[in-house]
Amino acid sequence: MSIRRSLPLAAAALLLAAGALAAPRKLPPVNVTDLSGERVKLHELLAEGEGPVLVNFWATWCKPCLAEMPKLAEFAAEWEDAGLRVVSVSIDDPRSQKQVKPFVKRHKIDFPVYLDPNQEAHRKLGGRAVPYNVLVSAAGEVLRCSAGYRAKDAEAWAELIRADLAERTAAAQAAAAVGDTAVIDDGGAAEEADD
Amino acid sequence: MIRTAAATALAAALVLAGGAAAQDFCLTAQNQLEASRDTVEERDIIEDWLDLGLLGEGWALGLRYSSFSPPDPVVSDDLEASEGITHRYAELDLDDTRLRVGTFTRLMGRGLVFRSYENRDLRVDTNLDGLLVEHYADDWEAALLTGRTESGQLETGDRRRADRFSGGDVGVSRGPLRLGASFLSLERPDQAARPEIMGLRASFGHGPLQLDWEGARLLHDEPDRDEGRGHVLEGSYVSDRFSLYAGYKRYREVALLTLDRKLMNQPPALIHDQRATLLNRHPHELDPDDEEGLLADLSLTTPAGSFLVSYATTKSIAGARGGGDYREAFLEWDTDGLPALEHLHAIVDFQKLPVDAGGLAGPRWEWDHYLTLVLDTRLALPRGELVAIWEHQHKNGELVGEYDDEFLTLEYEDPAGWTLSVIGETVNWTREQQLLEGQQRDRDVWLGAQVAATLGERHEARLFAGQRRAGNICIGGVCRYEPAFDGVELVLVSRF
Repeated sequence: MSIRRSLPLAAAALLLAAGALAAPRKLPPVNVTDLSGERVKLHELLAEGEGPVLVNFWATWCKPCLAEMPKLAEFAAEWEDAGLRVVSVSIDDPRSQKQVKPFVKRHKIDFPVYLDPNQEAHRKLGGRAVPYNVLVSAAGEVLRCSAGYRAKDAEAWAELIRADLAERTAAAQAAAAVGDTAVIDDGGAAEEADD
Repeated sequence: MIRTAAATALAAALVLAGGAAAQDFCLTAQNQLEASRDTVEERDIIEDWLDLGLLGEGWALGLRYSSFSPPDPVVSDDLEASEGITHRYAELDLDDTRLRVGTFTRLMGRGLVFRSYENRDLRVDTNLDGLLVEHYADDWEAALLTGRTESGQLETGDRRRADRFSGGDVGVSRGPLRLGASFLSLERPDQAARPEIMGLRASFGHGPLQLDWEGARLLHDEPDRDEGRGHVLEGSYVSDRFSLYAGYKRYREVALLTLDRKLMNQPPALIHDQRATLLNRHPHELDPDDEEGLLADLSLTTPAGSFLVSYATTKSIAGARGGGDYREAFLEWDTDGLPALEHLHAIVDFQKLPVDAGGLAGPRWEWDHYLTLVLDTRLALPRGELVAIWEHQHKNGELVGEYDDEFLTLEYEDPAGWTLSVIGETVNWTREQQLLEGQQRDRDVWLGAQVAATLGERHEARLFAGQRRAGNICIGGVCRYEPAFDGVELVLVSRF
């Protein structure tokens, strides 16, 4: 193999090694549409809740996608108390886009369903095939991307959701503590004013 | 080589900088490496796509460095190695407005007027290089764009951008009604006249009922082409127990082509995309210049599972392809209620396709009939899951005669994050039938094994060893022919 040919391999190896140093990335601004054709900003949709969100990309022609839906539903139910929501985004292109709604009904998909017919949101979030899952923290950081669902993914998601929950709880406690301090400070100022 | 080394160094520097950066921005990186060796052709292919992005509050910068040493033979057999920056962009995302300078893709309506997109599996990349402005309000949205397309394939070293598209799209919504209009003009190099395409669309949704219409008119700059017109009408009624869907299309001379014949619109083909390998080999390929057809679906949800009955037909308006219709009818059944099996998916499919059997003597249209059965089962094991997919196809062609194709996939999914698949195919054809089917390699059994695994948190790897039969890969009515393969293939995807 020539040096020239080995350079992409070297680049890939370097990225593998550098991966450990990479910072968590923010969710980029991406648009999807709902089933009636209304455009929705995905990051605004995620901000509507208080907990993390699992974005599940799928397509009507993708059988593994269908197979993982009940497992995602089970996982979502398990972590509902932590505020987890699942948002499903179909990457069906314009050819099969109008078949998504009947498909969702037929297969009893309970998650909110959105469309990404030009696969721009899918690509922006690093997808290259379906199924593809992206776990986003409550603060809008991409925590984990994975192609397809495996039991190992559920374990990793659970760990990340626990950490996210702990972070949110700590932040809420810190905010409450700052609030208490402010009340005490204010109380002191009030006493001085009284004097 | 210096440019590759520089890009590698830049990638490393950006990754390291991203890791150390404050909260103001972050780095995203994705690398896809595909390396293969065909032992019959003695051909080595190494391809790499490295996407780097810097993401801040309301802004983003990005580039893609692609390297083909040489490109996969699906692109061409005689392409030389090439490398370089194939995508780069700067994006500003204000509250309701998005500005993007550089490479971008865009869909207008359902694609009848314009669809610029990327699909690496199909080797389609019709991105524009220019300016895109989008504005979204509560009940209306608008987009303006101008940009040039790449001439030829991105994988070639010659990366000229010649044809310029300029246009806009506007959409409004009032209650259950949504209306939209698009306009686009194409400025081709060295040509005075400009093709122009304009489209209108309307959607109405109320409860379980949904209706959609889109129409387009294309004014050509070529004297031998008539004014193009296209329409697509779709309706669906969705209730808890059943749903009905019907679509009608009529496309005449609406292919929006660049000077090098790159298709820049993709009208809905109204044919189902299929996952099964054998069903995907013989699809109808969309012809925006000459086709009329319909698709009708009825789906039912019952205690015994869900059923889908579908019928599609497409014919040439001008009487091409022998004047006959492409037809497909299938019944699909999904159930979770069978003992021992976690899930069963079954399809019975009938396809009738016109084929040109004339060869050098000129076109002579004959018919191929395919009857396909697919059983796709999923079985829970004490540890992991087993997926077994059996596909059987009986072909009856006027030219090639009859033969059967069996395709079997056995896949074990381990909870630890790896999957092992064994894929086998066998065909009971004669050598003469093989040659008539265009199969250059004398083979009637193909065997392969694949291991896919998640490595750590950020990497996915897939290693395939064995043989693959030549055939089409189609998505959305767009197909590419994949040559036969015999060797080892590695795909490694990393995301940061």
